[in-house]
Amino acid sequence: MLEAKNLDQSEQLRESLLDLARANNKEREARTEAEALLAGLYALTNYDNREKMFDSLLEILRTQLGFDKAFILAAKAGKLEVVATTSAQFSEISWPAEKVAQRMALGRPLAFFDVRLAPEWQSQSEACRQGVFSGLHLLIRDYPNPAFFICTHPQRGFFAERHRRLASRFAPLASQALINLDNRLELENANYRLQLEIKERQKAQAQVVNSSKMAALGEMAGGIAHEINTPLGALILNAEMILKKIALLPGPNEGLLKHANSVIQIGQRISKIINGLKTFSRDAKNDRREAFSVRELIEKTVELCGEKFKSHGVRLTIDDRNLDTRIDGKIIQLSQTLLNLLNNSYDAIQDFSEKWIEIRASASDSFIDIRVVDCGNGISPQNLEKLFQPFFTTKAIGKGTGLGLSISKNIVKNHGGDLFYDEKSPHTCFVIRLANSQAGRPAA
Amino acid sequence: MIFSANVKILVVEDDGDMRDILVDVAEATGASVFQAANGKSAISRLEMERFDLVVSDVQMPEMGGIELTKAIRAKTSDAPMVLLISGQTDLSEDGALAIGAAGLIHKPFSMDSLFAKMSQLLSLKASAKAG
Repeated sequence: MLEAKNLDQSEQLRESLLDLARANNKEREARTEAEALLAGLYALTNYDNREKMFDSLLEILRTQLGFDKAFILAAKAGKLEVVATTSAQFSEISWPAEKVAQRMALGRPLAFFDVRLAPEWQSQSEACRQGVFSGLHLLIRDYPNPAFFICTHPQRGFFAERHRRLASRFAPLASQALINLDNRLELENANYRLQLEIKERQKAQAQVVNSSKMAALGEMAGGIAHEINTPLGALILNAEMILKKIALLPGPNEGLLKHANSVIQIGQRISKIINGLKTFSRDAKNDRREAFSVRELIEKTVELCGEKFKSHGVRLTIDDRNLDTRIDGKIIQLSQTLLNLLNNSYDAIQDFSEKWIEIRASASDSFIDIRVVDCGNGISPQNLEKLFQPFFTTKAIGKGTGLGLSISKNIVKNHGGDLFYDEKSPHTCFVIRLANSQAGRPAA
Repeated sequence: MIFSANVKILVVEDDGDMRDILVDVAEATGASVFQAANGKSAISRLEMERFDLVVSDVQMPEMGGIELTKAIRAKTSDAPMVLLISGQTDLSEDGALAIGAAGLIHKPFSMDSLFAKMSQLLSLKASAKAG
């Protein structure tokens, strides 16, 4: 009797112990699950890169679900494509997004005893299904941009109720992470666009400041030109009068003639500087334009400097392509611009043993480019910034006024074009870019 | 000598230095040269006597070259008018012709270019008279 009672008690005790062990197991399971969820939450919200985030997602799910292989599909132009995978065999998978997503509810995993029963898997090759028998599909993001988590196992019917429960717990976490990621990317894009816009505006503002500076300089130059050209005119006429009177004097007067001539030349140089500055204030609307060919422009310009180049060992070549392209503009002003570029090249290449300058024209539907290339090795970055600023020069004192390029740029701009330095060219290269007025018109 | 002393030229210029040398240059042609410091005194000069040629600055106090040209054309004076411009002005060669001036020269200019203009205008005038 006593024995039977003892037996009964020990039976009860054993059951209590078993209950305790079961409760312990459950508690441990719940704790690891909670820890994994927490780790997942942390990982998923902290990745700013889609691939890294998916890899992390796969890692967390692997610990929880014990799958063999897995991959993540995301919609791209109506197709579900693999964005992360633990095995390369899945990388070619491409399923119709709408069809696959329709069969699924968000966060409700679908377990397949054998994936060969699922239509999307049936279309896959044997190589792709290598070692894949049971499968678990989980929609982690809903239509219209569906995303799936899919894991597989080589044992048929591996994924049971427990796996589905765990997977469904992770689904909202993964969906939220995807949404966060998209939001973050969108925010970054917006931020990037904003920064671009700020830069654009700063550039535009700098241009406005620059052009108003130029206009002010032009206006001032106009005023100065009026005040200076009259006494300068008197100065030159007086020097010419001296020349005439020297001619009447007896004896050799080379010294006097030289000095009087110098006064005239210096006066003309002053006038050139003043008149050059004036072009900044010129209203191009009143200028009379004419049509001429690139060839005419180049020939007219080379007439003025060709001899000098030849006698100083500078080889000047003119590419014969596109020379008949027509330009609509002021030939004298554009010739002044081209001459300025050629003379700059000439001055810059004096130290080279083999000196050459080339003029090349090209025409597209919208532009005519006239390039002046020389044997030089380009312009240093620190000079590049100031290249077109008035009074900036690298030439020796008295050699350059520092106005040539700024005036030239202004002339080309008044023609509706631009003058710029080609940074991509291996040799020093300046480009006069003009609008192609002949574009789309039949050749005359 | 390019011209005879019978040829009378009026130089109108407010800048003293420029006026002096213009007078010298004009006298070097052999012509008789008179001077005025602005448009107004030029008009009183032109009302008193006949001139064969007027060389005038455009920007002057009191009365500038453009107003002077208009004023003497209104009084049907036939003296050819050469306008000298410096710096900022909207006047073009065409604009000068339109108001009745016969020529436009930009300052600074060479003596030869002024001589050439003067000769051209005076020979035109002579042939017009002869015709």
